[in-house]
Amino acid sequence: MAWYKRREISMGLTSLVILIFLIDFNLDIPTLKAVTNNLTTWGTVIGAFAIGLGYINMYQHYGRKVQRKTPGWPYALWLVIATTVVTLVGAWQGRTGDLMTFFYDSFVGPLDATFYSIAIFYMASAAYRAFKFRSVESTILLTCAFIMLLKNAPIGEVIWPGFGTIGTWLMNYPVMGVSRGITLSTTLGSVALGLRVLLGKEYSYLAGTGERKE
Amino acid sequence: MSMNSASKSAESPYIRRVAGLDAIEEAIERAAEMNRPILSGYGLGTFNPSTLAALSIVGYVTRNAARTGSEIIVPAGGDLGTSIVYPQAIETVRSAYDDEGKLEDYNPENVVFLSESQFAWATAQIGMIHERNVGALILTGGYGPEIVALSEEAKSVGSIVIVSGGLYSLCATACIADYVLIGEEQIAAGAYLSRDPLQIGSIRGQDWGRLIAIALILIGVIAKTVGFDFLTPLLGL
Repeated sequence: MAWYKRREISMGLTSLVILIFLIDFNLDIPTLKAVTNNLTTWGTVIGAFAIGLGYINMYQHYGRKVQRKTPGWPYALWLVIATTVVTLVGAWQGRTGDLMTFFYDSFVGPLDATFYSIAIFYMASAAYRAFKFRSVESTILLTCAFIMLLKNAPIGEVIWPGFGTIGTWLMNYPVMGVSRGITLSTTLGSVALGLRVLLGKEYSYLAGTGERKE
Repeated sequence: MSMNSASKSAESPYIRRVAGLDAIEEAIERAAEMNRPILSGYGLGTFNPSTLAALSIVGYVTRNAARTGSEIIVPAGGDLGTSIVYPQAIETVRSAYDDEGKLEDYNPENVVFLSESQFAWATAQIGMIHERNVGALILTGGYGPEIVALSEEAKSVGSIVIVSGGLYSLCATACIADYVLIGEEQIAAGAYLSRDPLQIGSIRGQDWGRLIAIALILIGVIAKTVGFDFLTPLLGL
């Protein structure tokens, strides 16, 4: 293996960059600020190149689908044509050109909004399966969901004002307590993960284990 | 750090079983038996603790998939920040195959970039779930409302669904998925799955942090109740 591909090099670079950002965050050193600004710009440039890489991969993936006429290939062809047209128009007009705005307002925006609104139907079908009197836990879940539904529905408080009071209590106490507990534990976990990465104890995110089996 | 030092001498510190992480191996084996592919995603967002943990899980899933001969699909994209993670994801999957000595089975097209638009990325994954008849859906990292749609579609084709529950989609994912990784369960995945005593020691170290936090909360509540408010200025609140 080439020396620059060794896991130790990646781990060392990761630790170095974490240290630079950590020191810059805690101490006000102008030289270090310039370095972190540069590193952030590098990140942006790498991200832009990665999008280019992504689009090449996408063309290969969907182009092959069209070539092999695998099921659903007309959609793949449509994707390739649409991507090419929008890329060319974008290169010609820029992000805020008339045609680009038309593409966004007429296709991307409505499709995004449609997908977002469809999510509620997935939730309804999931709730239908989950909200059953099967166990104590599912009964509590069902009762709370019922109360929250009536708290938020305009008719809920007309039927009984208590739905609003109980719903607000549920949101402000049990839900708030649990969500803060999860946030606290996730934050502590993130600190421990950062420490493991900084010390080079965790490297599975880098590229497998680095221990090749023959 | 003291936990790390302590764990050097111990065999392997005890930590509780995480059902969602233990189930990953079972899900991969079941997908292999049914000869169906595995879809393992690392979510939205740039490099953050959640993404790092998700990449660890993707690497673990890929190694197991390579061992059992299952095909793995890793969909990339979702937003502009995620694009910087994409090359890392390619490398994670490639070297996981390499680790298992099965580099010839690695198909670069399966680490596919779908779109930098969140819902286009999600819709393409729904298409893949049906088209490829995915046998196991393992989604970790950050996800938005699309995780509900992805999980529900995977259930409709009979997949095992293991997902990480974000704070705002936790209720919905808990209703749909077979296993949900909550909070730090996902963050600790890399250490947990490695079975490395040194890394597991750091998870034990978190418990000390949690105990200190609980103690501070209790002291703060009592102090504030009796009118002695010294913690608020001390913590800069």
